[in-house]
Amino acid sequence: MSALLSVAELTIVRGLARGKTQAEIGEELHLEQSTISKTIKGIEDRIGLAIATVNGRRLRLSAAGTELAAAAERVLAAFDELDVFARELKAGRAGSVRFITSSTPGSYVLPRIVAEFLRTRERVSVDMEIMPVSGLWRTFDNERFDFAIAPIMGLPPDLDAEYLYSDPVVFFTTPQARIAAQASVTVDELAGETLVGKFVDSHWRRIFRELEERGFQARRKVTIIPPEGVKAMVARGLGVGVLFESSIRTELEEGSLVRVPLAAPPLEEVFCVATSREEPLSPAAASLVQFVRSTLKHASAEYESRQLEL
Amino acid sequence: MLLSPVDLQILVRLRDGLTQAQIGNDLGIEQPAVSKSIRAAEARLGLPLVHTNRRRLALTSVGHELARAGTNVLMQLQSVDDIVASLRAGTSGHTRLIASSTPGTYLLPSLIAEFLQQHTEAYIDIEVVSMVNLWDAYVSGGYDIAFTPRVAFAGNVRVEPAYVDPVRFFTARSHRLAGRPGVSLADLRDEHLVGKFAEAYWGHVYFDLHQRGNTFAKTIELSTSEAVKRTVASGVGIGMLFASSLQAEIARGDLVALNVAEPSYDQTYFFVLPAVGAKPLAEVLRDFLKARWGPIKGL
Repeated sequence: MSALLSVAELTIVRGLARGKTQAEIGEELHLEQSTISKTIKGIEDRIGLAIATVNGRRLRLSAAGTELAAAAERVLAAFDELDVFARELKAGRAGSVRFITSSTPGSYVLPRIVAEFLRTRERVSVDMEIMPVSGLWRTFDNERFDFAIAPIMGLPPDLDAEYLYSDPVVFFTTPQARIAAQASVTVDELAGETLVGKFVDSHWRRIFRELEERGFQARRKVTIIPPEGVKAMVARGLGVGVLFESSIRTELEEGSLVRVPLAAPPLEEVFCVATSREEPLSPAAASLVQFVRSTLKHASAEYESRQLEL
Repeated sequence: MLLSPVDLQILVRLRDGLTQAQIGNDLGIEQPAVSKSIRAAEARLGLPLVHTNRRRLALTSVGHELARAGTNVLMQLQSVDDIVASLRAGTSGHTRLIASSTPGTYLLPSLIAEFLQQHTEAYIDIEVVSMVNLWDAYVSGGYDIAFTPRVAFAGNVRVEPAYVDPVRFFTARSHRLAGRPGVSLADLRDEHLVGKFAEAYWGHVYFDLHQRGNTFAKTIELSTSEAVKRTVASGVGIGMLFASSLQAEIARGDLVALNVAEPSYDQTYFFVLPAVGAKPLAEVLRDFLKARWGPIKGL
């Protein structure tokens, strides 16, 4: 911090450079003219240089004063810019947001939403870290994230969570598969197929426990982590794939893969926004969460009405 | 202003992991003043800047953002001290120099280049004007330093002798007089004399030569030093210019200075600076030039 000149003193020097009289500067700073005059004298004594000379009724900056005024302009502009930035931060129009998310929302749900959010907020930056659920909460605890978007299952108790969206589990296969032609497929019939999915993640293990409780026993299970790998294997004719709907929506819409009409209560995973209880969300982070929530609500209603029409 | 320099100092130190007590120590304020300052800043901004993390005060995301932005602002503020220190020392800043044509063209540029290499934070503008206009330009143009022959100096200025530039007679290296150990003015009687005689100084020199009984076959009057040198280098007569304007050609051997002992003419140049409140950089530049030229003999 400058030990030599205060912000008020820099404002006086800038005022002189802008051709203002001492009275005008005093009015601006709510100070008496005599105080301005004393302040200028004080600056000169402190820095050991003459900064102004009398020129009629006005003070004219000396060469050293002109140099100082240029510095004052820069400093005061920086303070003004900081004020603007603070106001933008408060309005959620500036700032950086860092969040962590699990693979499916990170790869299939959020990218378009985040891109849309950023399109209208030039001064906001978003850092979205995608990682498997297995290490997600440990990373969230160790590093500095504004929030997490992940399956609600396995949420640490010390975090606050709010429902964000539900992603149905979809069993799918190729349009040519025998099972695809059936009007309805029982759990027993499904058990006869080779199942392809991400069976290592804890929430998938939980989903299969639910199926097993309904008497399902898979004949053969093939575990492959990335959803794109699951889709590629199924597209080659290897049995039935299991994924969240969000990650298979495009293929279902274009018809390259089709739903297996499973005659069983639907399975789904609830995804939430989790935050630390210690710190409130920044306006930019809160604004992003709100944007994600409203976009998903709108997209989900739109998708469901389209499915009904079909 | 939403955040004062002290607020920013506190935010930056919190970001760096200091406790409130350490911050108070650093800034020379009591610990309660630190938390009071934070609360007041939060109230002004309408945003939380800190929160308690594992029983320790930590910045919120917004606090981090402002600490990052505040670091730049504090650096700008710090730069004011640096500028004042440089202005005091005369090592930085901006100075404007005005000079007459011969020193402005031949004497000063290389020395000022050397000065600027040594003072990388300094900026110098050099204006070269004819002697006739120099003083008016100096008075009205807000220059920090003038480098000029003697003129009718007026106003509240300091005038200091700076440099003496001797007049040289010179010729082409193929000339019959080139290389002679000594030349008298009588030897030049049948020669064409080439110079800038329309200028007051050279007019006086020519008049003085004439008064002393020296005549020349012909005088060739040109308006620039470059024209004088080129004319003489092409084999026409004897030239007359200041030594500073001939250094390069004589060093290269394109022209040869004649050793004319009597009479000798020269021009004394002066530094002119404001009597009070001269810019430190201008003073440092003057000292640099004086050191390069050394003391002036006879002054």
